[in-house]
Amino acid sequence: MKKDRIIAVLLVLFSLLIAYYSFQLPASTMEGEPGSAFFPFILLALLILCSVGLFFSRPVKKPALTEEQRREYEDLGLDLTDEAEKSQAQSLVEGLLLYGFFFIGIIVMYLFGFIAGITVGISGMLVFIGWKVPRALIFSLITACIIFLIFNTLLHVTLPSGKLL
Amino acid sequence: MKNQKGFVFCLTLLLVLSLLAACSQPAATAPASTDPAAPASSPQIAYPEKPKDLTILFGAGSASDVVARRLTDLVTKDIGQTIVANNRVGGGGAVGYQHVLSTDPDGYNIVWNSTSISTTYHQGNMPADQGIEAFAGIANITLESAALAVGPDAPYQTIAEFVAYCQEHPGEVTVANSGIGSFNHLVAAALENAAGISVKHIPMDAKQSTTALLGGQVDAICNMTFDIVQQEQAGQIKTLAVVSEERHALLPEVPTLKESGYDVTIMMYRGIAAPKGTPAEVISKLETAFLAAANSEDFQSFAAQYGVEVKPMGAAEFDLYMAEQDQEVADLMETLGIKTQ
Amino acid sequence: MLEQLGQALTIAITAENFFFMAIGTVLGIVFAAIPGLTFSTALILFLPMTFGITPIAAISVMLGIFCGGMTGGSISAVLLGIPGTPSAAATVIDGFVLAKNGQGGKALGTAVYASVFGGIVSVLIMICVAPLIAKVALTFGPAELFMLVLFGLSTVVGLSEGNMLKALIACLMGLLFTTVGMDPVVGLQRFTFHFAPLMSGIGIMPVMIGAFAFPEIINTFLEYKKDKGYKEKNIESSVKAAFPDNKEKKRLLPLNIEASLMGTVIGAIPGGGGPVAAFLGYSLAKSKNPRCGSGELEGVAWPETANNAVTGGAMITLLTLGIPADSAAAIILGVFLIHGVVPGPMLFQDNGPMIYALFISMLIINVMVLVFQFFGMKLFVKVLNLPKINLLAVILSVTVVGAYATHVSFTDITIMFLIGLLAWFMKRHQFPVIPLILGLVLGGEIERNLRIALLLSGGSLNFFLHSVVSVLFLALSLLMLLSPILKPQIARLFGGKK
Repeated sequence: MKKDRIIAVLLVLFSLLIAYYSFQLPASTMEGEPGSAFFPFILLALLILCSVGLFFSRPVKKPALTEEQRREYEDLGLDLTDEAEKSQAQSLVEGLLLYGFFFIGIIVMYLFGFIAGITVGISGMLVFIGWKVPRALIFSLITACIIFLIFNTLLHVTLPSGKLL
Repeated sequence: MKNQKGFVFCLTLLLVLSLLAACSQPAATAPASTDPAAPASSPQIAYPEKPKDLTILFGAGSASDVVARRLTDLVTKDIGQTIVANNRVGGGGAVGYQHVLSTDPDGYNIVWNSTSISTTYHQGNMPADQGIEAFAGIANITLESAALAVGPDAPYQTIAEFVAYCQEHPGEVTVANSGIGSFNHLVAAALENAAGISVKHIPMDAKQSTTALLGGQVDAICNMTFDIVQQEQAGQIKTLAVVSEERHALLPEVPTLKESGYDVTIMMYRGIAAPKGTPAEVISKLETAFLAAANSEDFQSFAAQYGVEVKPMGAAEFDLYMAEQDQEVADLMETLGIKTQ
Repeated sequence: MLEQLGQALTIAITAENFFFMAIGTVLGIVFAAIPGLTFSTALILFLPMTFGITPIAAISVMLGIFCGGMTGGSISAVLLGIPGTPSAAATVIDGFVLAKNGQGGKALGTAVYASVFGGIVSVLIMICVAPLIAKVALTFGPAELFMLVLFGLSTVVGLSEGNMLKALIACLMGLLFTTVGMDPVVGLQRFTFHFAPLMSGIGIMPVMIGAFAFPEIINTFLEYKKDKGYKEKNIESSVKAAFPDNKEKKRLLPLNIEASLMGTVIGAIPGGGGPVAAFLGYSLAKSKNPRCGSGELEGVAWPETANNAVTGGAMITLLTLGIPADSAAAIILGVFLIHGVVPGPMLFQDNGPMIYALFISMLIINVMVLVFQFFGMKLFVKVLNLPKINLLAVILSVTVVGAYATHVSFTDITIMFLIGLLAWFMKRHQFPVIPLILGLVLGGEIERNLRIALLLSGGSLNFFLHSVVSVLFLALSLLMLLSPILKPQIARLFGGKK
């Protein structure tokens, strides 16, 4: 619930920021036409309204689970104990790292092209989750090449080519 | 292990499928095969065989798009090099122009240019340094006219009646055109100026405006004649006038604005352009190819079917023409008070 | 008339035509099934293929891609949780849940069955009453269209997964994203900060791929890491693709017809299109079966019926009026024109056999979709049995292709990544993602039509009271939006009256 409040505040700040930019949009030149800022303003107003609502809302109570449902959840691998809270924080960091690897892949792709980028990015992610380095590299490289062949060469779907390579 | 095999199997299948797809495509998209019909005079220069990208500024199925694709196909067959046409829509052409200008002037990125460069620039949709001077002309291909049309049951069935009605109801009559900064809007504004009337401009693209006219939501539309012809021939709309020097080949009963007493004859040119700085030999090679296609019987009969006038011009002539037209558009827009830069 | 029909048959039933119909269908299915590539991409890409062949074959290829493509999107939606096309965005909701529960085969089969049902019914409607539908389509001006899309937007209440405020916030965010780029009316740039690639706005495909693919993939990767070696859940190892059985077919039937009709009309309205139809189809499903969202066949069937019915509807407007109802139809129009065939009222008069040949071809294409999908299903479902991590890694790579392909712009990849990050955070804080997609898909049309309607009415807000159609949809939208509050009240009212 506290997280929701933080999000609500962030949303309000975000809306105000966008509203600031909206004010700089020119007014309408045509009669009857409300102008470029009209729609954004309405949306932002609604967003602020909803965010305030979110701020003051009580948390949605999770319904008590029956034994059967509890078993079902376990089958699906979902963890409901308080351990979950701790691992949430850990998975946040891990998740961000995974995204980070992919982002590095994007940068490499921008500079050196599709194949290089995918190889670096994907193998980074795979190594992070436990694959052995050579296996990850080979797999990513082969995947990148096959995709390149199928899409770029055969189907003529353009793929990113690096600025440097 | 079994799973890995299945995985490889699927990838192979995908490959096979795409091979099938590739094989069914004509030679145009495979590495160029020698074309015996290629004009022997086209200079063989070190111009590697990468496919070229032609930017079309308007949506698929539009006047601009259809002609461009037909042309591109002919040229591809002729010079044996692939030209891939891509639609990059928005801002009255601004999006496409800016894309082309962001590429290197190496001749691999060209644009299906038209008077839109002038209208969208002077409207302010383009950065200040990306006006007509940023482009090098390769060849002009066609010249097209715009037209004004109303519904068959409208209270005005001639241009004179229309003008009279507008004078009695200033600012009320709605005219749909492609939006501020577009060529069609310019034509509509020019008409307002010449006839001393004031109408309400509704921004809608060609297809939407036709729908709106047929559905009775707007009073009139100002579109390229290409988009209006077949509705007119079916009797579903009434074209009041075309904007050109002479009457339109497919609509001989429709008068021009000029003969009706309003001196507006601005027409839209369409041709190929590239970013300034493209090497001269590249321009020359493309010029030859596109002009050959434009002069071919295939293209001429295609254009005639749609009433598009073919007006080929070489690179040098085109450069002068573009500059001239740009000045004309700028002056017109200044007079109308819609020029921003 | 019979003579024309006979001529039509000779035009349509040729080896060349069949060949191209088949190619088109397969290409459509394949392209749509790959997240990020849609049938619109395929239509443009394979346009050059149509140059050297007869007009009917050329159009058949395009129709094959169109119809096959509408179906193909559901494949990745069900199996991977990533809609292959914007029109399949609603299919993900129940489809993917079903797949996770081991019922992927049934879900896929239902999607295919429903799609072909919608497609064939819409072609039949086209054959019988095309001019009537076209007339209806013409009554939808900017005001009516705004109301229609607003109605589509109001279905967000059915997508809230229990958390209405958060769903609304997500939807508003999606709508805000559409304001980036070129203003639809005035032509000036909004929120682009003079960054050229943003001029065409935030693309739908990068957002969709990012929003659906990334959180799922990242979470699965994280689980793998936690378990140190992913143990495949013991789902019955052969997930068999299956069509719905007779009992289910009966259950789905009445609303299948309704969804087809609705889809056809929406498809015929210029500005309507697949996504609107799909989401409305989904809200139809939710109203009939409130358990939609946790894996119900209705949630898969009716959006698919509706979006495939759009193909027939779009062709109605294209053939009778010569006006393309959406971007795919516009490309098809281009093919028509390039081949010198001008669709519209003149075509009916001058070239009747061609029209009939097109009808026949379209029917055959829908049957082909069924056939190809029948075999394809069995193949596609095998995807579920592949080693998860490998598969997801490949998909991740393909997402880059998909994001880049539409505008050949690197910014799209970045957008996909950022949205992927955002969606992951959203999921972690119980913000439903589908409303964001809904807002993004419908936002452009809503704003444009609202402003043009206001322009036409001279600024007065009661423009929507001017026609029956817009009042109707306004009422429907309000009802839909208020239903979460009204429903329990009504239940209490009726429950009290023992």
